[in-house]
Amino acid sequence: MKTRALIIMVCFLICKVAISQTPQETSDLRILSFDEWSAKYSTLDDKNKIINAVSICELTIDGKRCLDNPVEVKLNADSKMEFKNLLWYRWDIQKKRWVKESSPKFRIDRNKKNGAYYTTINCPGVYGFFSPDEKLNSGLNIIAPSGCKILTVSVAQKNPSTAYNALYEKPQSKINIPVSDLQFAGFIDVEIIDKEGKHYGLKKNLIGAHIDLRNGFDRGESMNLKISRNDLIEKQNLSNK
Amino acid sequence: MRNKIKLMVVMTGWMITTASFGSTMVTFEDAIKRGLISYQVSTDYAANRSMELEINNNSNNPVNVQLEAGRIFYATQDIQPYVVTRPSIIALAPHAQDEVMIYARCGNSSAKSPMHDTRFGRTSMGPQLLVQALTDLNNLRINNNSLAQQVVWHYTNGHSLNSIIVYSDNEKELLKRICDNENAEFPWYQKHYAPSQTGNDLDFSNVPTLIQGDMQVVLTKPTNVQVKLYNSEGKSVKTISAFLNQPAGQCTIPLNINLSDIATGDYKIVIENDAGVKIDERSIAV
Repeated sequence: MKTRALIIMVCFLICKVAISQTPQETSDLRILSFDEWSAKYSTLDDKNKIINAVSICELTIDGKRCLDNPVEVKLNADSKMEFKNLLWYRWDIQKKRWVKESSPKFRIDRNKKNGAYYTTINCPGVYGFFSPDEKLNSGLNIIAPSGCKILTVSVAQKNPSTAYNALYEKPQSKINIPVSDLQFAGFIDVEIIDKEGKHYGLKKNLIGAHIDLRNGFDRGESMNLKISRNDLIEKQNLSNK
Repeated sequence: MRNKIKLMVVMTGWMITTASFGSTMVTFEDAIKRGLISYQVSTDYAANRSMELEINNNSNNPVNVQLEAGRIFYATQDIQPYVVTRPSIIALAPHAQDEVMIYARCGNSSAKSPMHDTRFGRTSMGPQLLVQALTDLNNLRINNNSLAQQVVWHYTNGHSLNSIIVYSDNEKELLKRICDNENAEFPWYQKHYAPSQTGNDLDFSNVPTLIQGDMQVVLTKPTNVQVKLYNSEGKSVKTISAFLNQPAGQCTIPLNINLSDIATGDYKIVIENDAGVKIDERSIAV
C-alpha cells in the first residue's frame, strides 16, 4: 500500500517537473543580404519567369513545424520607390523556384506619402517580396568557345535585384538564361569544361566587360554572350588540391 | 432688469435652502460611527452594478448618506470584497429603508467573486491612493467597468500598471494621474489578460494574452529592423516582427506580442538591424 502511494507520488512529481520544464520553442527571422541570397537562389518563379527581389528573409524554428503566432513582416514603400504590385513568394525547395503565397496587404499612410506591405510568416522557410519583371524579352544566350561546354552559370545584379544560378547535369555548348535587364555592374560567372576535362572560369566577372549594353535590350529580343578562349582562366581542380 | 436678476438669485437660493433643510449630509463612515444607519450588502448578478446595498435610517431625521468611492465591504468568507468605484448619495427619510445598486468592483483578484449567498460584514476605506484613483476616474467621467476593475486590482493585489488598459484620452489621463500619484513612469506597454472562464468579469483569469506598446527609435540610415524577444539568460527566443526598408529618422515600432506561446518570465524586447546590431531594448514581464 505504501509502495503504491510512493509510486503515485513519484509519478506525479515527474509529470509536474516535465510539464514545468517543457522547453520553449525558439524562432528566428533573418533578413538575408543580397550576397547571401543571390548565391543560393535564382529569382525565377514557377513559370520560369524572372522576378525582381526586393527583400528576402528566412524563418527558422527550433521546435514544432509552424508557429501559432506568426512573425509579422512590414515592408515600407514610399512614393519614390517603384514598389508597386509587390508579391510575396516562398522558396520551394523541391521545385527550386519561388512560389507565390497569398498577396501581401498594402496600406497607405494617412499623409498618403508612404505606404507599406504587410504579411505574416508561420512556417520555416525562405520568403521574399518580389516585383514582376515587365521587360519580356528572350534572355541572354551564352555560347561556349568551340570544343567547350558550359557547366554552371551565375548571374547576380542589384536594383532591380535578380539572380540566376544553374548547374547543368549535361554540359551544353549554348544556353539561354531568362534574365532580361542586364546591368553593367552586374556579376557573371560561367564555368566551362573543355574536351580534356580542364575547368575554366571567366577572367572578369563584370557583365559590362563582356556585353555591350549601350543599345539595350528590346522587347522580344535576346542578347548573345559569345565567350572566347581569351575570356577564360583555368580553374584549379579542387580534387588535386 | 437688474432687479429681475436679483430676484431670481434670491429665489434660487431659497429653493436650495428649502430642499436641503432638515436633511443631514453625512459620509457613510460618519453615519455608521454615529449609529445613524445600519446596512447589509448582497450580490445581484443580473445587474451590471452587482453590489446591492440595503440601508436603514435608524434616526428620527432625514439623512443623506454619502457613499465614498474606495470604500471596501469585506465578505465574511474567503471571497473578494466589494470596492465602491462610484460615489453616490443615498437620501433616506426618518426610519426609512432603501435598497440601492452600487457601482462596485471586486477587490481581491486571487479569490472568487461574490455569490448570491455571500455574506458581507465589516467595511472600511481603501488605501488613499486607491481612493484618489477612483475619485479621478469619476472626475474624468470614465464609465468603463473593466478599467475600474483593473485600477482596483492594481491597488488590492499589486497588479502592475501595465495591466491597466487605457484607450481614450480620458483613460490615458487617468493612468497618467495614477502614475503621478505613485511617482511611477507611464507604462510603455499594456498587458492584456484573457477574460475569466467563468464569464464573470469580476473574476481574474491570470492568463496574459497580449502585450501591446510602441517603441520609439532613431535610425541614422534606412535599414531593416527586427523586433526580437530575448529571455533572461540573453538567448533569443523569437522574432516578433520585421520592418523592412525602414526610413532613417525617428520611427515608431509598434509591438503586438501574442503571449500564448511564451512562457512566464522576464524578457527583453530588442530592436536590431539586419546585421544583428542592437538599436534599442526594453524589459517586459510576461
